[in-house]
Amino acid sequence: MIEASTRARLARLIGRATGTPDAVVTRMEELRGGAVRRHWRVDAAMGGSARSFVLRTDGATRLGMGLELADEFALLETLHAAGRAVAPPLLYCGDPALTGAPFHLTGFLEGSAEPALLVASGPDETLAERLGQELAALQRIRPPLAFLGAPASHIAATRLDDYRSRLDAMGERRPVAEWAMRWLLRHPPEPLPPVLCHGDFRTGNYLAEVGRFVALLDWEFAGWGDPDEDLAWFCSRCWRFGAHEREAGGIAPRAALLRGYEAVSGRRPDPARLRYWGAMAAIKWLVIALLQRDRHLRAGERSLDLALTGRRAAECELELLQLVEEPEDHARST
Amino acid sequence: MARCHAIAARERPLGDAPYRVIAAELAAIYGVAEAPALLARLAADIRGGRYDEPGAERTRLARLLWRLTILKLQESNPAFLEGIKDVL
Repeated sequence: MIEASTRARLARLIGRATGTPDAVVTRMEELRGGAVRRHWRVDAAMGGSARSFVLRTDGATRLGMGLELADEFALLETLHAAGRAVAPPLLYCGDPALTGAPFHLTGFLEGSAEPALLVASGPDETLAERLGQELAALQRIRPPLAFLGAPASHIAATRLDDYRSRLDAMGERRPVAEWAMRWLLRHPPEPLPPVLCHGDFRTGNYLAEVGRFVALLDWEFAGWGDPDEDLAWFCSRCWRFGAHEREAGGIAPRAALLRGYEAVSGRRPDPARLRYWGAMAAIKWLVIALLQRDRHLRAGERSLDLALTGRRAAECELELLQLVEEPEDHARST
Repeated sequence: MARCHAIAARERPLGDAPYRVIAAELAAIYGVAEAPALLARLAADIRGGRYDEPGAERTRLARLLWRLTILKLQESNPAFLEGIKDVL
């Protein structure tokens, strides 16, 4: 329940940002999705018409990874100015007195990000190809951006150090994760110049309407990274939502995504690099799944969803075993 | 909530049988029977490079890791194993 006084304060802020002082918030409804941050749809009457916005704020507990809201908003402004498909940013408010926590507001866009719907309506090679094109266009944004800091000089090694440290801090001693990290440590790919990565580029984090791509959502994990990181993350088995045979996010064959990507970037991704970054993606998701679990177990945010997310670590481990298996291991033959 | 019930329903009849399978394999590798501590020891050994070189020891470990992971998924999300035909 959002108090009337909160709505009134929000309306004044929206009125100032849009030059419509008569703005009135007519409805606020929490939206589904967003495993880390929370979202509300905000409907407003202003200047004789109706407009809708999305208010995004932190959850009750933090994951301990990713961009601060203010930096995420700064990135949205950069992306919007560059013509990328994002929800148009309206304002950031760092004053927790207004609604109880810092937040940012963007325009509301029509479409669905619901994985079950997107996967059920597939296969959709056109959508996957369009997503590949959008990713390639995103990668044209290169360092520096002050709010993202400097890119790591050795991206893969930096990622591994980070994930290993986080597992150690959680007291996790997982043989499969160690097996995979050992492989990643011993098989680093030739580095490529860093690009802007979405960091959570997958089905569930883009809006589509009737098969038409609308926008990329949820930029909290964005940062400088390897050009193949987002491609591999998108194709992770964990993000196919049961449609395992459609490697591109459960919506299409992997080739469709890569075709779109190559058409705009001019670079054909190397399968060996995609394998490497696919394993890195599985380690990353394993770490996030355990961090989410700990928001329930240790940080006091009681949530069955968070608790169950911890169980998904085993899915990551299966994918890791597949990706790092070498012919000489013959582990799956009896 | 439904998923919680499903996991519990799968775990109940199995009891600690999956755990005992892994514990036995770990005991065979290390010659002692303290499975939780041995999992941590195994993780440390892998990190330290003990299993880097190809050979029987590495192959045996790889099989153990597959078995461990499949047992976990048979409880938490057996649908995720669909399409993995040549599992142990």
